[in-house]
Amino acid sequence: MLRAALAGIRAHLLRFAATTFAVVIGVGFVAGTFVFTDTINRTFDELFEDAYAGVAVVVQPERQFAELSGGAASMPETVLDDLADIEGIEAMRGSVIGTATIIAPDGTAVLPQGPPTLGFSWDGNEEVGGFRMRAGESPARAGEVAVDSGSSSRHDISVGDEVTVVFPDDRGTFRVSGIVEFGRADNLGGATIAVFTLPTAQRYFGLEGQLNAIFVAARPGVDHPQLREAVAERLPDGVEAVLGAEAASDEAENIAEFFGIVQSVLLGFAFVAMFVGSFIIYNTFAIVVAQRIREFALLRAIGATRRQVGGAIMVEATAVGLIASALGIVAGLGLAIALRELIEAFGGQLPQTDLVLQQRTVAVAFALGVGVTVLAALVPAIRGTRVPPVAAMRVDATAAPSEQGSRVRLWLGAAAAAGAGILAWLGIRADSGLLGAQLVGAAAVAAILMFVLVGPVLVRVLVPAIGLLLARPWGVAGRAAVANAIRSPQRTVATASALMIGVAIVVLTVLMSGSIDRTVRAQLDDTLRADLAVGRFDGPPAGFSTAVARELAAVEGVDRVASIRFNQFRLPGDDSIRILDGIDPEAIQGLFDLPMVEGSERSLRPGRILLDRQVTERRGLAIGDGITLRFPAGDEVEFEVAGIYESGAGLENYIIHMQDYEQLYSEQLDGLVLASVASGMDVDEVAERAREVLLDYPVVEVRTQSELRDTFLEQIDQLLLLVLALLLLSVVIALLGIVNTLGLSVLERTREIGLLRAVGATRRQVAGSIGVESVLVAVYGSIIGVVLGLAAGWALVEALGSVGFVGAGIPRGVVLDIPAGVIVEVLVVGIVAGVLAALLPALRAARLDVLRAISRG
Amino acid sequence: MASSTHHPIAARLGDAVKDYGEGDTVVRALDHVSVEFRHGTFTAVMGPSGSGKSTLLHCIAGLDSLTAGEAAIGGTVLGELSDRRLTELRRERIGFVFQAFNLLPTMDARDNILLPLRLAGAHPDAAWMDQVVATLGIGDRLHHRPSELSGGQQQRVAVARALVTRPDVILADEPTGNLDSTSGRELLAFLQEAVRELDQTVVMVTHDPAAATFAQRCVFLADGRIASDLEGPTVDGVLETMRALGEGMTHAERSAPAGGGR
Ligand SMILES: Nc1ncnc2c1ncn2[C@@H]1O[C@H](COP(=O)(O)OP(=O)(O)O)[C@@H](O)[C@H]1O
Ligand SMILES: [Mg+2]
Repeated sequence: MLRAALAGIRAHLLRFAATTFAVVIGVGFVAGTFVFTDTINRTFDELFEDAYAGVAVVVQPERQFAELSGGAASMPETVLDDLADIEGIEAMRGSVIGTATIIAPDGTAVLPQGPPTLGFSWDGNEEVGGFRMRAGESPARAGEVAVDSGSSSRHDISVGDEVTVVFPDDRGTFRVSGIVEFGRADNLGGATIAVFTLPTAQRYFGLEGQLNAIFVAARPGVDHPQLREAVAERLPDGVEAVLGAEAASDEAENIAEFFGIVQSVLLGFAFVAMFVGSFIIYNTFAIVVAQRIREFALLRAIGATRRQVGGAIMVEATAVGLIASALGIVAGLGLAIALRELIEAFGGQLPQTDLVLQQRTVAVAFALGVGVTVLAALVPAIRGTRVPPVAAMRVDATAAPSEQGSRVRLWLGAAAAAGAGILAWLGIRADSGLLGAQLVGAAAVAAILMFVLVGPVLVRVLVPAIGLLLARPWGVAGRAAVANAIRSPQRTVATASALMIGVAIVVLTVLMSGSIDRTVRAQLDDTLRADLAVGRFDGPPAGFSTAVARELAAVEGVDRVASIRFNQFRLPGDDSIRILDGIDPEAIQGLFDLPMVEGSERSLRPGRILLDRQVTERRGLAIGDGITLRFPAGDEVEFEVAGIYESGAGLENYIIHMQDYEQLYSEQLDGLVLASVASGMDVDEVAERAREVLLDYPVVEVRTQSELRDTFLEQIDQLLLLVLALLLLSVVIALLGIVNTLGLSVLERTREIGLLRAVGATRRQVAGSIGVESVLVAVYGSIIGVVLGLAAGWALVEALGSVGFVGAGIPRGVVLDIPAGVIVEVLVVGIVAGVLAALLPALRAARLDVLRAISRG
Repeated sequence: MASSTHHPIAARLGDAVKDYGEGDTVVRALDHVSVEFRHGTFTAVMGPSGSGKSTLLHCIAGLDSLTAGEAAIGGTVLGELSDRRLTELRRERIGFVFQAFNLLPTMDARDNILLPLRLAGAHPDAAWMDQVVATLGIGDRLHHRPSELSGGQQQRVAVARALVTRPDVILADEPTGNLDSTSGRELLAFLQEAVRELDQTVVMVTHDPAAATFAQRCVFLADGRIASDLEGPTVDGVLETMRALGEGMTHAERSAPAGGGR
């Protein structure tokens, strides 16, 4: 029986092509995601292991997690003296670190998109601290800097050049004494590096007499944990000693954390692709089984049991799953390489290491690929076992699968519809955004199920209706197309369902982003009062020198200026990253109106906090209650709730007083600076003057109110584009499903097509008929998809409208924005895609040799 | 029936040669065959299995091209026609009836019958359609799908479809091959009637001597050559010719049990 199964695959190799493709895409995404993140983790592990190779112990202020910009708390330089006479220490190096942005000789700032720009002190000892000279000398004098080789090659900076470096509170001009690398990498995971002598770094970072870390090298033969103990005994409170190896893995983890987000996003797309693909797998097997009814009947007639027939089909499914999974892993490796290239293209340089293919990745890939294939083939296999042996004697035994049990399907469909309705209703009424979204998601799945179940009935009604519009002009070929599209409705439904899901997700995404867009715009209109805004708009939000605000305030025509700072914090017992803003409630008056629902922003004083209503509702907090926040240094601070506001677009959900912020974070960078223009002054003129003054700070840009709004909306749109690009992949899979089904149908109808040609159908008529059939299926799938996407979007907006869902970037008060243009586009694309999908099968049918077709048994 | 010689020629093969394959493995399915089928006649083509009967029909219909010689429908020589013209010619001037699978399963009988006209974008001649349907006795079956029709009814629908365009010639390849003897005889009677009453031309391949007697003429093929050409065939005449042709007939006899009754 195994042989029969394998022979089956060989004979139908082409028929399994689309199945294989669908599995390969899904498995490829999953495997690629794992390979990518594993490789990144390994890369940074190795990088920091390498960098800390000569470091036995690191002395640093106690810290639980990093600050956003990489800033660190400091300790007195005198700690070095306290440790000087410890036996077993070979060498020690005190170090400071901070933000330092390099301005290349041509005047452009060296700005990676995302990673920070870092400045370090270094004494040139390659054994301790991770830096290595690639060219030139390490900085030895006050006016010298060494820059990372990534920046050097990207911005054409060479030894001897003059560069400007911008620090949070200062700037300076330096001669490039050398080019450094970090470990074996060009830079630090994309972050740029500027290296100075210790006194220089201390001066520019405002850390005179202070250190951020001390790297200790041990004499040969000294036990590192023992040395750590000895060092720790001498340290003042608030300063800790950790093993070099531990510090290395901590640092690696910190950087790799960022890529965790990439992992979950990609896995999400993998899931969608796999889900869409499973319909194609199901359909392929269903069709292949239907086409081989005579073969199975013959097997049964000569004595094969039902089990054997079913077993043979399952063996085929397993083999296809295995092959496809293996190919999927290969595709995953390719995807991982592509992702790395993509990140490099955005300026994040990663050291070249071999791709990491863990056993776990292989296991998951095969489990997923084989699992989905086998599951999808189950129903067709069962159908195969039901073929009666006498079917072998019938001439026309390639009949469509029986529509038996359609009553059961209808009842199940009605149940699914009811389920979808109830879930959506519960979701709309849920008072938590997360729960609402989850319930609506479950409702969408139930609705998909409903469409699949009642599809055969729907197809028989809708397809002829669509045919009235689209097939008419094609005369008899069009009529044949309609007849063919509804002759095995289950097949059409399965084919169209894949497209339906893809289209629904696309429509939902467009609808949600349009709604968010519109809501954000409205909220900005309500809250943003400032005439000018200064910030970094080149990538993800990042801090910049506080000098910018001072310079801006001095510009002629600028009335009032307020800074907003942001950094990360955590809640006790919860390790997820949260963002906190520091504002001066007096300064921000008239520049940004917080949409307060309770209390007033003026009541924000040190020791108090403003919270989003979602947070207070979830945590059962009211004005006057206390909430504890955890900060990088490990201190837990309780704040009193002073006011509750509605989450808008500008600020995140935790707001504290600027005085507290300055105490709690070691590095003070502004995130956004808002300003108003004195009455009677022309905003554009003032903006122009501000731009000129701020030329010295190339990292920041000056925006007027409307420009800022556009910037925010642009960012939303860019995200949407990226998401859509990845979602389109599942639409492509769905289209391949149509190609596949049509191709198989053409094979199945060889004799019929031959007959048509014999009685006088031209090649064009035959091809046209297949094209129309394809368009009918595509348009049917698109219409249902649009309906489903709109319904899901409506329910989601209804569910989130009253509560918002900050975690997904969905503000409260989101208003439905139906993308009418997009719906028309989707339908037009559906028609075009239908035509494209039909090309190959139609060509094949048109090329059919009439004689061979009609003389085939 | 010899009087039919004054009728115009509906279909013709002139010195036709058809080879399959190449080199050593070449099979000559038609070996210098010249034959004419006149308008308004019913001709049976007989011969042992593999003697080239189907090939002869295919070549006349332009479904297959000749290696040498020529095939013509009416005055039109097929060899010179493009694929498109050939398709149109098949649609308008040739009717087909196969042994099985003549009808599109998705269409009812009426739509199947009208298919060639619709493909051509032509309108059916209602009177002719009625006449054909009445002649074949399928008036009450027009709105049934093929799966709801008996084998004999399906073949009659196929004949109706072949007739509906008033073709120059109807080519039927063992149309009774899948039918029981009663349905077979009925179908042959209808074909006969189509020729007599509706002035059509039929060329029918069969290996059933009884079926051949419904025709006015019987052409015998053996090894791709015309071995005999019998006017007004009778069962005895056919059997005798087959016997005289030697070897092939034993096979033919065995596979034609229905013939014994006549
Ligand atoms: N497509 C083909 N390729 C090769 N040989 C063929 C082909 N079709 C028919 N033949 C050969 O041509 C000969 C005549 O076949 P055919 O016309 O089908 O015979 P009949 O219909 O009388 O049984 C046979 O020897 C057959 O094997
Ligand atoms: Mg034959």
